[in-house]
Amino acid sequence: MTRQPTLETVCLPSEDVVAREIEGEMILVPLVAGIGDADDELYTLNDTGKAIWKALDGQRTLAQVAELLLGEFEASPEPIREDVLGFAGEMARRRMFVLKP
Amino acid sequence: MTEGEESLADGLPPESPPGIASAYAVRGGELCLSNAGQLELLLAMGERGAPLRTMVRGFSMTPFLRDGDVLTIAPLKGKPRIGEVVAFRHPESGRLAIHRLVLRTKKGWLAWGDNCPEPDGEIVSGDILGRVIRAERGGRRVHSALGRGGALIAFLNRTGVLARFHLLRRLPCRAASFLLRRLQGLSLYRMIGRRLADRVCVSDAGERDMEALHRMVNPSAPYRRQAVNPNVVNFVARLNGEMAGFVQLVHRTGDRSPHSGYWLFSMHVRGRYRGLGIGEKLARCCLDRAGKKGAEAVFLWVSENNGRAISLYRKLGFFPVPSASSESSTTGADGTIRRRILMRKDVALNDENER
Repeated sequence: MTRQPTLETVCLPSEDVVAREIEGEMILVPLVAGIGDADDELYTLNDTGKAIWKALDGQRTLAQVAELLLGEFEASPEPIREDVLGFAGEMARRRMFVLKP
Repeated sequence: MTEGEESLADGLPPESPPGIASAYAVRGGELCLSNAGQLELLLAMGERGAPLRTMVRGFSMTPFLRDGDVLTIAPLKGKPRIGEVVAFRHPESGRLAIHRLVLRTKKGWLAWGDNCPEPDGEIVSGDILGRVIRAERGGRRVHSALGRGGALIAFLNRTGVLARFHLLRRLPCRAASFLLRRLQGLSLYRMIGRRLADRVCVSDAGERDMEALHRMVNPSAPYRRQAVNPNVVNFVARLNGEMAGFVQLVHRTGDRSPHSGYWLFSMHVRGRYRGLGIGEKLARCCLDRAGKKGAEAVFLWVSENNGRAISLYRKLGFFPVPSASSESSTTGADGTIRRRILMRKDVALNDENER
């Protein structure tokens, strides 16, 4: 079972994924088999996922990412934390993220 | 995440397996990139030495590669060969193109679409971005376009044999179109057709209809979802579930035209469905809706050479009105100027004006 990220986790995009923002769409393309659902599939992030992805720099913990987004969007802290954890969990399960302890 | 927007965190259960509908990431079937966007993505994949799967849009490689086929484009390792299908920057437009190499030249290569009347021009090797290593149609591999057969196709194209083959291939279709047009001009056909037209269903167009329409009239460009415009109503006509025609009712409120108000635009009936009274049904729907919206009159432009359309509009009660607007003529792709007639129907008078 994939490890679940917590607010203290630092997440890094996997090196086995090409991520580009093209024409307003954040596009992720897995490069190797076992990433995502298929070895040759292509994904786009919705607005929530895109905002979180952009805030990840490999240094910030997920709590710090949520804090950053809190200053950027008019929303209460709890739903933002839930979104950040949900997104990181999903990306980790798809092996598009590497989790630092 | 704006105020009032629902948190999406509950969209994916914590232990749900990969592959189910996601709250944050959508698998790429819905993605539509422009030509420039596809080029950028291909370059990004090339930097990592990875292949990209992309869908064929258009008919420049028909019949060997068809609209909707899925291609795998791999970075170029080693020299390309004559007959290979490659992705390259077009030497004139700079756009991404996927065509076949047919000849080695001094500067590089000559590329030519299998279904194009003329070659793309000379391509320098640096502008070749990848080679097509796999083609799929309906989930199955297509072998005819690639491999050894490619060299033969390139030879046939270079020598003009392929062009003759295309002419022959289209001959039955052209003959059928010619006969159909003749038939559609017969009053007996139109009389029978109008009985069939009872089965035609006209309704407001949904997003899928707009996408289907876009693919019908502009198959080589990706469809982009349009924001809803409250001043535009799109109508679509269907016969036996298939799209047969389209028209727009547009409320022009600005001062872009000397005739602000309600306009009938973009009337289109597919060739095979002409003569069945579908245009009339579409126009009547527009007029009804304009009446319900409180329009006093509906305007339209029609080419002065389009006798059939003018007859239809006259029958519906439209009459020509003088206009000094710059819109009274358009310039075609070939540079010829086409004059248009402005027509008006007073909706308040309803059907009394109809002849």
